[in-house]
Amino acid sequence: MDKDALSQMSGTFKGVYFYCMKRYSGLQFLFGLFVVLSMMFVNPFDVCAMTPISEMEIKTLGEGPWAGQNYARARVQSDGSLSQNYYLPTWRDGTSAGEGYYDSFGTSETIDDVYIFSGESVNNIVICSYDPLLELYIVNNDGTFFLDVLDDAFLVESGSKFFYGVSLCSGVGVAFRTNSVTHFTELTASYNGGSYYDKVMAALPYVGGLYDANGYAVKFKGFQAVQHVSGYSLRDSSPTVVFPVYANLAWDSHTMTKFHFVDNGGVMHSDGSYTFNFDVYNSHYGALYYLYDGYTVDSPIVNNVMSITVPGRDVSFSDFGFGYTNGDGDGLTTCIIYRSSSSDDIGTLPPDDSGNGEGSGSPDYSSALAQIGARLDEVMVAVSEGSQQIVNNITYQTTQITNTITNTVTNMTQQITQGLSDVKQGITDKLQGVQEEISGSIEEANKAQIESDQKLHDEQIKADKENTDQIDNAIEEHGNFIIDGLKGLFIPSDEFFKSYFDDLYEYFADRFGFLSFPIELVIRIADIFLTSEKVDAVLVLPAFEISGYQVWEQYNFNFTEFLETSFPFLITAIQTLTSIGLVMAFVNLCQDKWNEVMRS
Amino acid sequence: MILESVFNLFSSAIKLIFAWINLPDLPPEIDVYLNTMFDYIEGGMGFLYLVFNMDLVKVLLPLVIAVANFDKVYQLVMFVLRKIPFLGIK
Repeated sequence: MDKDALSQMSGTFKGVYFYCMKRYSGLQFLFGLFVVLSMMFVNPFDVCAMTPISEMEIKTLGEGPWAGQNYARARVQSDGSLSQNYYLPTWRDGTSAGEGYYDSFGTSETIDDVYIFSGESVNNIVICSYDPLLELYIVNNDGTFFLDVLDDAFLVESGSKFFYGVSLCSGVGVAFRTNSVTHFTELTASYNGGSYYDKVMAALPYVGGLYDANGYAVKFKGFQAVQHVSGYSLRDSSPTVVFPVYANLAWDSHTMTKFHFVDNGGVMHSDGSYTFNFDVYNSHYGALYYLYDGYTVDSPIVNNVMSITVPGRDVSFSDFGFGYTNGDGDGLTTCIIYRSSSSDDIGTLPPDDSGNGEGSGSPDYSSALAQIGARLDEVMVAVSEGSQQIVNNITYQTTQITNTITNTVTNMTQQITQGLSDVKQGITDKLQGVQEEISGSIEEANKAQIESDQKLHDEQIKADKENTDQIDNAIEEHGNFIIDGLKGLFIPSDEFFKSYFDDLYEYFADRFGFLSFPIELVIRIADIFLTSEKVDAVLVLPAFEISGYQVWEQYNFNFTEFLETSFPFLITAIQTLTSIGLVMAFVNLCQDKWNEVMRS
Repeated sequence: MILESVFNLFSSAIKLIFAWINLPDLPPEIDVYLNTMFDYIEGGMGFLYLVFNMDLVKVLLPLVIAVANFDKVYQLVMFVLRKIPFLGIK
C-alpha cells in the first residue's frame, strides 16, 4: 500500500476520532475504546486455561515378578520412577485390606501416574491417590473402553465381560462431589461419601479375567473440581495444591513454614467472593491460612470451607497462596484445595496489570491517551496490511477466475475436438464393420458355391467309377466264362482222373482176381510207409515158465527211449549216414534208368 | 470234355475187351499170412524210425517207384505220341 493510501486511511480514522470526541464525552469514549481493544487483544483462551492432571493406570501383570501372586500392588511415581511400597492394613471402612499395598508420598511429591499391577487371582485392586479422581477408564490394547465416564463419575458398562462387579472406593474428592460415584454396579456404600480418608481409593474387587489379559489398563484422571480453579496445576511440583506434610518432621509446630502458590493464570476479581474447600485428610493440621498482598490471613474455616472476599483490586492467583500449620500428633497430612463455588467469576488481568497499583489514586488519562495513540498506529498498520492483503486477494482471485475460464474454454475445445474425433472414428469403424460384413458374406457365398461344385464333382467321379467297375466285372465274368468253357472242353476236372482210375482199378481187381495181388501188395506196403507215424522200438522179453513155475515175468525194453536219453548223438549219426546212402542209391537208380531208357 | 470222352471211350474199350476174364481171388489163408507179415512190418517200424530218416523215405519212395517204372511210362507215352500222325514221331 502506498503512502497516499495510508495518509488517506489515517485521515479517515482521525475524522472518526474527532467525530466520536464531539459526539460522546471523553471518559465514555475512552472506556468504550478500552473495552473494544481488550476484546480484540486479550487471548480468551488464557482465561480458563486448564492443565491436564495426573493419570493413573491399572495394568494387568501377566508376567514379571508379581505374576501369579495374590496381591494387588500400587505404585506412585512422580518422576518416572517407582516409589516405595507400604502395606495397607485396613480399608477406610475398617475392614482388612488383605494383601494390599500402597505407596506413601513424600512431602514434595505429587501424583503423576499410579500403576496398579494385578497378579493372578486378585481379589482387590486398590488405587491410592491423593487426588480426587475424575475419570476412570478401563481399556485394552486396541483402545476399546469397557468403563465409560458419565457425569464426571464412573460407570461400569453393563454386561462387561472383564469387569463385572467393579466398585470404587471413593476418597475425599469423590465424596464431596454432588454427583458422586453412584453408577458402579456394586458400589459399596461405605466407600462412597464416607468420612475423610487420607487417600482416594478405587477398589476393584476381583477383576475377573484381568490377570490373564496382559494388555488391559485402567486409567484415572483427577477430579474435575480442581479445574474449576482455573490455572491450578497438579503437575508442577511447587507450588501445588497438594500439601503433603508429616507432622513428625522437624517443623515448628503451629508455625507456617510454607505457602503454596498457584503459579499459572486466573484472577480473582475485585470485590468478588470466592469459596474454597480444603480437603484435609487427617486432623493433625493446625490452622489454615491464605496469603494475599503479602498479608497472611488466618481464614475462618467452617467445615473446611474458606470464604474469601477480595478487597480493593483484582488479584492474580500467582500472588495468592495457601498454607497451614501442623497440629499435634504424627501422621500424614495432605490437603486438596479446590474452588467449590462455580458461580463466582474468575477473570484474568491484562499482562501489564499485575496489581501493583491497585486501589490507589485517580486514573492516569495522559498515559491512557498515549496507549490509545500507540494502539491507533498499530490499527493503521494493521488496516494497511489488511488492505494490501485484500488487494492481493482480489488480484489472486481475478487471476484464478481468468485461469479457470481459460482452462474451461480449453477443456471445452478439447472435449469438442475429442467428441468430433470420436464421432469420426465411430463412423469409420461402422463403415469398416459394414465392409467387413459384406466381404464376409461374399466370401461365405463363394465358399458355399465351391463346396457345392466340389460335392457335385465328387458324386460324378463316384458314379463314373461305379459304372466302370460294373463294366469291368461284366467283362471279367464273360472272359472267365469263356476261359472256363474252353478249359472244361479240353482239360478234365481233378475229380475225373481219381474216379476214373479208381473205377479201372476196381474193375481189374474184380476181373483178374489173384493176379492183382502183386499190385495190391505194392500199394499196401507203400501205404504202410507213407502213412506211418513215429513209434518207439520196444523189445519184449516174454515170460518164462517151467512146470507152472514162472522163472521171470514179461519185460519190455524201450530201445528208442534208451537211445534218445543216453545216446542221442548216435541216432543222429546213424540217420545221417542212412540218409546219405538213400540219396546216393536214388541218384544211382536215376542214372541206371536213364542209361537203360535213353541208351538202349 | 473232349479228353474225358476219350478216356471214357478208352475205359469202355478196356472193359469190353477184358469182360470175358473172371479169375478167382487169392485164397483167404494166404491173406491171413499176408496180414501177419504186415503186422510184423508195422511192429518193426520203430527200429526203422531209429535207423532211417522217415521224412526222407516218404519223399523218396514215390520218386523211386516212378523212376523204377520210368521205361514203361516212357514207352507208353511214346506209343501214344507215335499214333498222332501230324507229330511225325517214329
